[in-house]
Amino acid sequence: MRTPRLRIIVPVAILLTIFSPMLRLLPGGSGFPDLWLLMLLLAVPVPAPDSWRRPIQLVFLFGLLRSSVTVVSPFVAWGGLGAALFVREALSRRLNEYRFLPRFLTGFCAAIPLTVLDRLVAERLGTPLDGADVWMRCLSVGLLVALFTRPQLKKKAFSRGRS
Amino acid sequence: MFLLPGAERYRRVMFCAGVIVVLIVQAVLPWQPLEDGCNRLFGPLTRPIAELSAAASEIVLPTAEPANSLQTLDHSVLVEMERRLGKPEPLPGMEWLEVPVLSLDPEVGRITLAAGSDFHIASGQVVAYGDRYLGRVTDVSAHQAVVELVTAPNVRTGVLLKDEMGVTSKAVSLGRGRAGPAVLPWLQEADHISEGQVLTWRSRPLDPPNLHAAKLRLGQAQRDGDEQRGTAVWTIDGDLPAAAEGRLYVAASAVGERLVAEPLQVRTEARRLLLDDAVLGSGWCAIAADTSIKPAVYADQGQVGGWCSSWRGNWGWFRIAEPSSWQGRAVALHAESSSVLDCTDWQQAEQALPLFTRGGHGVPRGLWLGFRDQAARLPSSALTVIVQADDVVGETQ
Repeated sequence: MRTPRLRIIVPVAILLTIFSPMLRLLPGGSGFPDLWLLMLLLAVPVPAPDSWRRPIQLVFLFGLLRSSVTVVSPFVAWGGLGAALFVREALSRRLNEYRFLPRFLTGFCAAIPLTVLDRLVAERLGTPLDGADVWMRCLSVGLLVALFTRPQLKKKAFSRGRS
Repeated sequence: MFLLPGAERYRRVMFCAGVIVVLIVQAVLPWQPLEDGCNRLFGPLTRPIAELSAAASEIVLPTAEPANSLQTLDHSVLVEMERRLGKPEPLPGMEWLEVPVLSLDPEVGRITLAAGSDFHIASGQVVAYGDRYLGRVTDVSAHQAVVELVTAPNVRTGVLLKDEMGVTSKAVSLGRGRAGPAVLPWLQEADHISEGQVLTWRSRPLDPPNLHAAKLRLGQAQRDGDEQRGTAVWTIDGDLPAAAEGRLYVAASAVGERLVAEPLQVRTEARRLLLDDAVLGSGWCAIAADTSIKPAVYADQGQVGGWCSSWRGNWGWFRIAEPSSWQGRAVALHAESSSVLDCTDWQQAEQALPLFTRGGHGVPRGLWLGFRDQAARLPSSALTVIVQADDVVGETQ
């Protein structure tokens, strides 16, 4: 699967970061998916490339961008984003990626570590996240990942057939 | 595609898993020095993004400046009340030095004062509040002094008992720290004590003679334990007054130029950046200020609106909190009874009382929070961040 280049990812990530506080204020915004997690899952291919340099760079960058618009520590972002990639990689090797439901499940499970960490931090800081919002954040990440990611081999097979 | 050998791939997986576990542990159980170091390192880098986001928010969703508060109380109202309640009666040849409290641990029976040898405080001096004897100065450093209260472990204090007939007898109290109130293990005349009897402090032979005339109280006698089991003891019922958490009075027969020590407050002009958090939503605001030390609270038009949760070099995140959410970190002023109430008392009070910061952990005491039932005050674009320094500045009375 061809993934977007860094010179596209970085400006888009910065732009989304700038507008992210406003998105969270929209009606139902507290249940919106974590933008940086979503960008990471869309920007890093499955299965992960042999060189892990780029995923690590993206985890670091997105964690830093995230911490610039939230009180939540960058360690939470780095830990959660790294764990998300790890969970997705482990699940995608075991589940059939050609079907929507396993792809959704993979995205959903990948969102759990970061969301749980966010919830823990929110409770520690005295502004707990609503349980429904936590579920919505995980579900929406799973849904969007399932919609916008396609298995690598399938795409290659189609492109070969057409050419 | 070149595939890595299984062993190499496994090694990388294990290494990355280890790093992620460490990051998650740091996220769940934050080690503050690492957190602070990271914030100092990356804070200035992330500030431009926060500034851009704030600018975009102002364009898309402009925030109206909050209205001026109609009822604003100056922090000196609380200070005046504390002085009125706390200053003991003047004694011939002696002065009462007014010293603010830096921190207190009432369970252990220890209070740290925000002045030390710089304010001519010496070990052994008597500390009082109003007509209450609290303890003695035990340890003095340049800018701080430690007071051991009557309740501190193994602290012995002389007690004077006076019965209804006016006959006096002596006793000694022994502090127990966390175990409970001070007990009276030795009574000169065991039948001279009764429940509710007022216990007076008894001076030592080397104390200034005029100090005896102050007639400082320790509290009231109380019988604790089970008589039938033989565990009954006489104890001293005397909680620390809420107002005494602000400032105490140290008896001195030789003083310097200053009689009042005021803690130094560092106030810096600041600017609001973001009014919402991108992960946690509303209730948070980002504030930028060119200060090298971490501020404790922000104040807008004289009213404290929230406390700092994370400081990142030259900007940080503050929790926007309504006055009632300060709970144990606030005290209330009850003008009718001329008293300062602590958390449990002001929460139970029928009327919404004016709240002030209790002080401690870098937050100066006596900053105006608002009335108990007031909503949280949103910060305006220009405000002040405040922190209390350990040093004191003097004031001649």
